Amino acid sequence: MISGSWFERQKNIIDYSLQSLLRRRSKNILILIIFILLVFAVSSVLFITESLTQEMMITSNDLPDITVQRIVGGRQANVPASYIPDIEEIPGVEAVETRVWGYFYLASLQANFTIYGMDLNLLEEGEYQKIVNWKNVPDESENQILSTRPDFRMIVGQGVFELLRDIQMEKAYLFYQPTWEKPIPFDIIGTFKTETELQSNDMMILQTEGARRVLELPPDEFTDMAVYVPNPEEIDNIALKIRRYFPELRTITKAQIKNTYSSVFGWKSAFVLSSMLAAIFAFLILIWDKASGLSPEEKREIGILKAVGWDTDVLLSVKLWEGLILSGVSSLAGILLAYTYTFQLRAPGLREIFIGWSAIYPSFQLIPDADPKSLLLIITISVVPYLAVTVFPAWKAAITDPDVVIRNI
Amino acid sequence: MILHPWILGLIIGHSALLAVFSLGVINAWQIFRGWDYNSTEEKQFLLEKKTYLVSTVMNFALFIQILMLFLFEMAADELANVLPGAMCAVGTLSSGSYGFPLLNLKIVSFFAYFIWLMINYLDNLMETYPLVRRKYLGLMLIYPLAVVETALLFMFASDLDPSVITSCCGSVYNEGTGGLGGSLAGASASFILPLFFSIVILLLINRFVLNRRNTGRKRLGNLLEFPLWIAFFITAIAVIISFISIYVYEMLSHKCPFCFMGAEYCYYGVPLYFFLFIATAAGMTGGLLEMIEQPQALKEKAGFLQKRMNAVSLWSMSAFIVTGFLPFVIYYIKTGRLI
Repeated sequence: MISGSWFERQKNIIDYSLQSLLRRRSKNILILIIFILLVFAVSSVLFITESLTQEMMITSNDLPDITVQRIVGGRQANVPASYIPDIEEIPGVEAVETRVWGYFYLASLQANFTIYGMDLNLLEEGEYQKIVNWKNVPDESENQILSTRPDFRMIVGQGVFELLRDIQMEKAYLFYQPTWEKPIPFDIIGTFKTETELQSNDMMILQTEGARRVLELPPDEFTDMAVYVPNPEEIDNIALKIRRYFPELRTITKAQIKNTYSSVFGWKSAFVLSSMLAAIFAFLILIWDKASGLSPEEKREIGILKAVGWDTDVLLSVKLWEGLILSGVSSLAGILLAYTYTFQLRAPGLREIFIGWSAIYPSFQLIPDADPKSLLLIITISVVPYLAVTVFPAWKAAITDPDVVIRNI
Repeated sequence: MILHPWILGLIIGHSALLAVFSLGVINAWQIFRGWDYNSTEEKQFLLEKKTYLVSTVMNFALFIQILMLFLFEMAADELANVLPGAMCAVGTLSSGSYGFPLLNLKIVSFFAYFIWLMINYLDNLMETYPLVRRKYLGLMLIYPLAVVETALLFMFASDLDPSVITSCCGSVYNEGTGGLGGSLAGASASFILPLFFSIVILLLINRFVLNRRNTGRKRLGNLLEFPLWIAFFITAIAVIISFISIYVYEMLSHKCPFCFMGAEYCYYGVPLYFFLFIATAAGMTGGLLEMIEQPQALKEKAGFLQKRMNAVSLWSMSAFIVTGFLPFVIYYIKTGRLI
């Protein structure tokens, strides 16, 4: 008989449950492995989503408060400089910044580079200094070239740099399109450090005037505008005003971008999880089958326990503890595995689903960030259905009558 | 409809809850119809075994329900990232017309499950299961709650639209806004605090004065506990919105009862709501146990359980008051003034 205080009872029951799990090792190991894999899959998806969302939230803080584009014929068109003074006059607007950017497709490498025009002199002085590895500076002759052609310098991302090194263009790159009379040479004066890889991997930062030449952008026109509004409460209203004054302009606020990214990541992870539902169901059927098909030894064991005075209640507790131990161990193992897979190995295989396609994959670092909230979610998705399925078989096993078993011995 | 991991988690959890509860209700129906304790037939023997199944199932259902209550709040909080205008759970809940009804229903079902399980526990202490038919009837009456809850969850999930701008807690719990949230926030502390404390004092008087008297008064007092605890719960929520939240956020205009559940406020709301729910659930159960009169043996056991429930509710209530008014006390000591 089990006696003593409640805790002592539970301790003895847990002890017995552990023993009984270990005795039926071969049966339980199969369940354990599948369970671990399931928890692993679910938690990897959640970890990678959370980490990407986190990363996106951090980087999107640097986004302009309002991005203004001009739409002509339903497509984005260049923005003439004439808009700037009008927008600057709207109360609450701190600054309007014009931007020059575009893409450059390099057919021979099948790579698409993002070109961004900027005043590189500012870059050299400002805080950007820290994120750039400056190159090609000491050489005398090149210094001369630099000073003579300040408009044709650029800083490239690590991925671009590696591609260009393969074609021996790591010092200077010749931009060329068949329609141009002659190619435009650009000196590479630096590369971005690896910690900015998610944003900078396929980037080429060109001196603005040079970028205009490459992107064939006429003077006094820009790709789009960034509007800075110091008071976050005013952003939506100012965006509305811009749209009212100039119906041809489209505004995108920082919050809109954040929401869109969050829902895209959420959608992707839920999509992967839903496609896992089939696996979860298969697992549940397996559990149901394993749990309800009692072997003769198990039946005899339960019968003998009943005969020596164990209650149905106690046997139910034994079964419950077995389930809890099994799901606890596999959840822990699965979560740890997923943590290593996502943050140490950087989620090979899954990563591509979440980042989307790109000619150059950014090999970024995922920020280790596991919210205790998501552990609760993992438990809900994996452990709760498992326990729900085992309730009935556990009861079925626990009500076995001693006489039926003993008569058969 | 938003396809989101948290929505998926809620749907999986609720489906498990409903499946398990349905299993319980089918068996409860069989027990309710065929129960005859004096019968020696095999059927009665099987029905007695089935009571174990129903108890286990309901224990499990309560466990999932508690988990789902937390998960729902967290899901609403997570989904606020996706919905424009939403800053915390409130935005998600108020974005459709099903969010708050679902939350309210979940709170009601939590109490219903808790009370049922306590009565079930009491009944199982007796060899003859004297309450068996009544408690299974009760179970069948609770079942529609679970069905409606699951239906509401699906409606809530399909109603979420990331392109509709919703309100943030700053506008829902604002004196200027109409509606329940606004009027709760508008209720001034000088009105709601005396009300809250008079209910607390009434509860204490009821406990320590009436209970010492003769049986008639005592019975009345215990029966009174049930409505008193409901009033306590409602005023406590009002106090949280109109008074406690101000001192947690140290901001006069922020009156959100959800934001402090998050990591930014050290999960302050988790123990606060835990104590509030436990106090109310135990208190209500204690009051209801007074209604059990037959048979005498059961009544004795009920009295015993009632004492325990009363103690639990009293301690949890004290813990709730201490946790709730701690930010106020700290603020007052630090600055020497009220907000």
